[in-house]
Amino acid sequence: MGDVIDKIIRISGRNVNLCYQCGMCTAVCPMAEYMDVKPHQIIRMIQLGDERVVEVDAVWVCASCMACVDRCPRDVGPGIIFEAVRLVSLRKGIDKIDYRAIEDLEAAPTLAMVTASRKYTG
Amino acid sequence: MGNDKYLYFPGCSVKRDAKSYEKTAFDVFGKLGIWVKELDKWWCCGATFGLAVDDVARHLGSVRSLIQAEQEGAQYGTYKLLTLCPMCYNTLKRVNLLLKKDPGKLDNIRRYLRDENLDYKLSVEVVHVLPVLYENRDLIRKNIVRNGSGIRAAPYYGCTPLRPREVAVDNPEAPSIMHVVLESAGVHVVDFPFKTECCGAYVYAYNRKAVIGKSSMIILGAYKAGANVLVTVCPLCHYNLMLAYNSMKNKPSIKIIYLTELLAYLMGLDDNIPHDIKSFLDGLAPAGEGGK
Ligand code: SF4
Ligand code: SF4
Repeated sequence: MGDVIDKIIRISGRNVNLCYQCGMCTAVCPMAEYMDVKPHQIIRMIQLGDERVVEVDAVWVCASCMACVDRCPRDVGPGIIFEAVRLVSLRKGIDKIDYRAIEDLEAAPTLAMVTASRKYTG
Repeated sequence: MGNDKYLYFPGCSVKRDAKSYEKTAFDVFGKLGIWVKELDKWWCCGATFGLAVDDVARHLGSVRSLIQAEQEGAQYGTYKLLTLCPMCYNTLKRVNLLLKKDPGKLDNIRRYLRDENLDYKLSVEVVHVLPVLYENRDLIRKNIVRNGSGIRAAPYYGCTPLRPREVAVDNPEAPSIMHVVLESAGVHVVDFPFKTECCGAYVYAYNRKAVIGKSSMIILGAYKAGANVLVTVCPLCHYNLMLAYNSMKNKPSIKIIYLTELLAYLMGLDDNIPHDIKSFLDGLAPAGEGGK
């Protein structure tokens, strides 16, 4: 396995090989309709050692709602693994927020700012 | 019942953007005789629980507040730490659980704290306001002074009070405690399919369209089920729902309000209810019972 995949496993502490591609995670994911690659497909990419997984937009659309984590019959923890995928980029200084591009930035409550900053700047 | 004692962790939101949530909650606690003491000092919980297993430093803010609660707990005789914001609840609860379940993580955290002569002995229990109100439902019923029969309230739980299941305040697949609280308060409760669906949370900053899509679906789902009030307990849900509502061309006649605002209204505790909410609720009163 390559360096990126190793990092994802190490940061998440999860075993992607347990996944049997049932698709439950995608079925319950509230954000799936806005994802370029669906949750079960992201897990499959990692199983296959496909390092392009760090380019997938969907991991940034994941809201960490834990719906998939609670329902996965194999306890793979997809939503936890997606945080690890995000962190592979964030820990290299590649962040995903442009404060100037947020409409009504001044109207955004602290909680919205803090959560977004935590998730999109690492 | 009514003799509960809690320490209280406010967090950023209720002190700034959701002030009426906190103020009406304290009005309700006061009326029900629930003793609540705000921590003398508290730290940002982090708002979202850090999911990386190799980064315990993320949890330090939460741990510091847990230690503060432990110290004050010895003084005030309660180790229950109450939160209103379910993001605070979720984060503090998960950090607490992690330290209780994983001695290695606790050791790591202790290494950070040693230089400050601090330690955490795992005595705190993190509690959300929903089960507290549920346990006091009979007292709530006794304190209702307004006729809420014109109010059709859809309880919206969202994610953080319910997931992951280890920290759920109720059955995460079919929660009902907010339903019961509202029923006890005398309003008509409207169940709807998206009561545990995610509002989109922090994604508003990355993909606003997705968040407006999710939150609109929740509002319209409640409205189509017959609700005229959508009840939330979360300042982030509240923000996203308002974002979606304000973006709608045809705005449905439904008001997004905090649970404690509604309870305070029904108990006649009007001082801290925002004017727009008060007048909306007045408008739902059965004929001849407008206002109080
Ligand atoms: S729910 Fe679990 S087992 Fe099923 S596809 Fe998703 S990660 Fe794999
Ligand atoms: S945690 Fe992320 S991937 Fe999993 S269901 Fe929620 S939004 Fe979808």
